[in-house]
Amino acid sequence: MKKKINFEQGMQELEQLVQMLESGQISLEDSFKAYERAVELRDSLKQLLDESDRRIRVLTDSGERPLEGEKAE
Amino acid sequence: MQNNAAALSVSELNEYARRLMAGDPLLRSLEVNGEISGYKNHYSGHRYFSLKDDAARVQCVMFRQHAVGLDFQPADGMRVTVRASASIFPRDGAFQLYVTGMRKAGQGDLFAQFERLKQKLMAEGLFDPARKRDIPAMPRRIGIATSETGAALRDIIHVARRRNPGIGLILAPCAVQGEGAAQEIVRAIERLNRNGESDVLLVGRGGGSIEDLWAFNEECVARAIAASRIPVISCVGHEIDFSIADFVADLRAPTPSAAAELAVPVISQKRESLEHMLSRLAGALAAGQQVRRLKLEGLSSAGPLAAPDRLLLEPRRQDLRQLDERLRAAMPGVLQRERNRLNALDASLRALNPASVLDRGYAMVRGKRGIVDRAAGVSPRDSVRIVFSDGEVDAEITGVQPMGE
Repeated sequence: MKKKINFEQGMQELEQLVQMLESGQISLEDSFKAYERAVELRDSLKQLLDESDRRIRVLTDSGERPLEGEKAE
Repeated sequence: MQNNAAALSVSELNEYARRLMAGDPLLRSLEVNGEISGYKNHYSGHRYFSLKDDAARVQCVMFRQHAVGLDFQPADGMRVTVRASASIFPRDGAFQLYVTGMRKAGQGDLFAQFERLKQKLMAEGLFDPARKRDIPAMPRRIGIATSETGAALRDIIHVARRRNPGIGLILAPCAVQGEGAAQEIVRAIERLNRNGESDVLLVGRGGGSIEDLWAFNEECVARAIAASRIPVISCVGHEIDFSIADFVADLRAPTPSAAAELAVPVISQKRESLEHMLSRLAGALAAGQQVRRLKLEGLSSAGPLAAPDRLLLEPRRQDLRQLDERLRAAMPGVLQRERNRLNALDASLRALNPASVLDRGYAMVRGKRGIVDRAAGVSPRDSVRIVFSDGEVDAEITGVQPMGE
């Protein structure tokens, strides 16, 4: 299982790969690796953006419950 | 006595004294403690009274525009601290305080307490910029320590959801004013840390009087914020209110809404920046391939276009086929994952094939001496061959226009 990436770090790494590929100065072999890694990063970053947890949970001393009515006074 | 030409008129004297005082920095803005006496509410809305102590008294006026800001009803005998400028009312030659603000005495103790704790924690290094942690750029869940019924919570939920509808919110409810509030805030911060799911904590409440906000100036709250493993954004009161919690927090927000803005990025902007990066990636692949194609063509002046393909790509295709066969024998889970990688690799291989450039609408020109890569390489009436992805055509040069001439 891969370590979960952080969005900003992932974007930075992707940017570096893109710059490397844009320069055209890397070998064919390295550009395969770079591309492969870029695809991996794209998938993880999309996943981070799509993650969604719409609930509002309330943590009390005695445990967890949803927010009452979700409509304060 | 002679009428001395150097003598001043009364008006001149009073005006001179008024100007002298107006130029004095202390008299221009000071705080004075005293007991109210002779308090009058004038029909104009101005308030007139004296402040006195055991040995002296001074006349005071508080004009209507300042008096409307009073949060209590002053009365004779009340001990107060006023904020004022001291000057002379030239018409009467009366020395008096022009009062702009007033609070009940005793609150002065709170200010002293605030300063003492601030100095103490500062000396301990709790406010050092080096201690401040970065607020995560893309939090998945936000922890909130505030009152469950307060306006602050409503504001935070509203702003956070508007910016990212999928954001997770975890509230640790606590009293934010009154007896025991500080301890409740501490427990809420600890609870959120134990839960550990939040990427950043918002700790605060909406505006109120200095007493209402006081819990956020308590030492235990400051220490709980400092001890939090999760970065903390403080948001106590309004823009102008500063609390001890603000100094200790990793980031201070002027209001709860502003805290939500600082904590929650606008998700659509993040999506756009990723899409932008991905389109650059596609462009970069095409550009890198172009550079390599030019190099290969330089190397193979006589060889056909298929040679680099055979030389460089064919052995890799074989590697891939072998890898694929080995994977077929491996466990199914691994197989699937590796197959995905393989597909990606294969796709990029195809994208990098020089022949695929021709598929995208480029053509290559070959002359007598091999590939023609500049206008100067041909002369009128030369025969050339133009290579497309689906075939070749023969052509004759009818004219040459080098660029820039």
